[in-house]
Amino acid sequence: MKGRYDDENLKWIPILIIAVYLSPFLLKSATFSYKYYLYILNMAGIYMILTVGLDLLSGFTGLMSLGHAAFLAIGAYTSAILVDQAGLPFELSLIITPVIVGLCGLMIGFPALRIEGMYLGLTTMGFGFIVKRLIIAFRDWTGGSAGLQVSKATLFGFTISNDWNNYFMIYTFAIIAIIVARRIVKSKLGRVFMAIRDSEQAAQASGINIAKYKMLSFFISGMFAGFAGVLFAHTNHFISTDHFDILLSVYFIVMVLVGGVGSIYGAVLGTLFIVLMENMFIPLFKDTLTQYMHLEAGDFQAFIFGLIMLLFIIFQPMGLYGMWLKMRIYWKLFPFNPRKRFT
Amino acid sequence: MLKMIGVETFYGKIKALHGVSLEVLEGQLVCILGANGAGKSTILKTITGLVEPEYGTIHFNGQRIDRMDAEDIIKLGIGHVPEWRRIFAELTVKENLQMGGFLLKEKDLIHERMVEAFHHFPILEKRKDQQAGKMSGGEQQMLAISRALMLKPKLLLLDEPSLGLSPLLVQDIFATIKELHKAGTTILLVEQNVNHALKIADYGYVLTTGKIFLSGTYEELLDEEKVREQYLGEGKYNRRAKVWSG
Repeated sequence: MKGRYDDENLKWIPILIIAVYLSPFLLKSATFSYKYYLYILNMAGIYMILTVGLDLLSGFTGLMSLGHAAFLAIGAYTSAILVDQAGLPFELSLIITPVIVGLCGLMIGFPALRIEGMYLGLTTMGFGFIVKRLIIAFRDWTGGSAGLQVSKATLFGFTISNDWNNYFMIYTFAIIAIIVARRIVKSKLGRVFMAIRDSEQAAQASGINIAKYKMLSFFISGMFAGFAGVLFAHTNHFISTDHFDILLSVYFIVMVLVGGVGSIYGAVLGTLFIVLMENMFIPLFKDTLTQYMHLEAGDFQAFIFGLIMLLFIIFQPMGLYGMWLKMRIYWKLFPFNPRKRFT
Repeated sequence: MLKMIGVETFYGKIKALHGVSLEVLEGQLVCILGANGAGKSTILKTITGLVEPEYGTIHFNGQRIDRMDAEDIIKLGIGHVPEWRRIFAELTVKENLQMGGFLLKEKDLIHERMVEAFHHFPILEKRKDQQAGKMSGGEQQMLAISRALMLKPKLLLLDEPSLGLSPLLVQDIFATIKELHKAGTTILLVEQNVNHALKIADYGYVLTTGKIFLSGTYEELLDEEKVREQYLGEGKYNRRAKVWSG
């Protein structure tokens, strides 16, 4: 029998991981404003954890969710309350909070047993609105719409105080999250998820309890989002409902789509692409374009992301990861490229 | 082996089955015929528990199964090949078969059954690492059948295996079904292809708008003028066509 990862080239993985840990040093030596770049990369790292979970739900199980900003919010607020108000250690919150958010995911999973596609998206979006109102309503704990100050993270006695330290913490967890997600996808559980996506009826006829596995998918996805939420709260030091706008959920979907639905690396690539785009490339040509287009700064991003998503769906439905795979095949066959394969 | 008595199934408020009663004996190949929308597939879905019946009882080997979950019904030994060869399109052939053996706990057993499936359908072995959705219709149907066979069901429910296949492939598929039947599997077959289906069937039921309309063996059903009228293109409609044309 073939092994689990036989068809993959694993020797690059350690090199990639080393590159991840080396890049802040490179950035520091390259630019004076490295702290800003680190901040952006940290953001990308947190979102990565979430989009990997979202990909498990939307890409692999085929259940659309527009409520992931709400999961992130629940994670962030739960951890802030647990650590600052209940006095739990950060390490414990790192374990408890994802479970709580996962249980919230289970709650959302209930309607998903009956609703599909677009309507599930709308339902989860409604969940996002509800969560936002609830956060404002419980203002004794959450600080309402004024926001909440959050303490710094302390891991085993070591206080993680600045973006430099945050980077190493976030990316360590991000790498763990990616590895866990890869394991899930390559396991029997991952195959069950994909089977449900491809045909619910056939999955049921094979003896799969689809209700159970759909709920499980929501639970796992919620756990990833909760994990991201904890990191978000304790590295941003300030959270408010504005951070978890409904538009953020849409961006998460865009990240997964751009990266390539149904591949973990795709979700990672898509997240990096969108976050870097948002913070580094769009500001470069924003001024020139707004002269001609009369768009507000906020609308501009939505416009660009809408455009990117549209172009990707039409021209690259497999996303960035799909492009990479195509490129790899292209170079493998280099002098003999049958043109038709790449249309 | 399988006994349905007065089963009525609803989709929302629409009644799809109006009190269907039928029986499948051990070792038989029973065929359900009927036009589109007659409720053939609904019968199979009701048996496997994908849809729950409102009234009536279903017994399988003396055990009542009409209120059980799909998972448990399949564990009892009923295999279901859904309509339109619903395979897992983005999984490979091998992974499809592994999913078919989802309820088997031992890995060796899954592997053993897979080898058996490859023995049955050598074409699948050639395609084992290919994405299932990229295979031809006939190959997909073979995959769907062998996926259901992974659990070694005592009763196999086949939902229109000839749907959308070329005549040559239809013959292949029916030959396979016949082989399976000879090997000792009890089969309940749903078909529109009357000639082929009745030739291999021991017993047939004819369904119209959710009711069993006729039942009998191949010869009995062929003798019935009504069946010929409705499914074989003979009878008054044909005569009327002749009047119109000439």
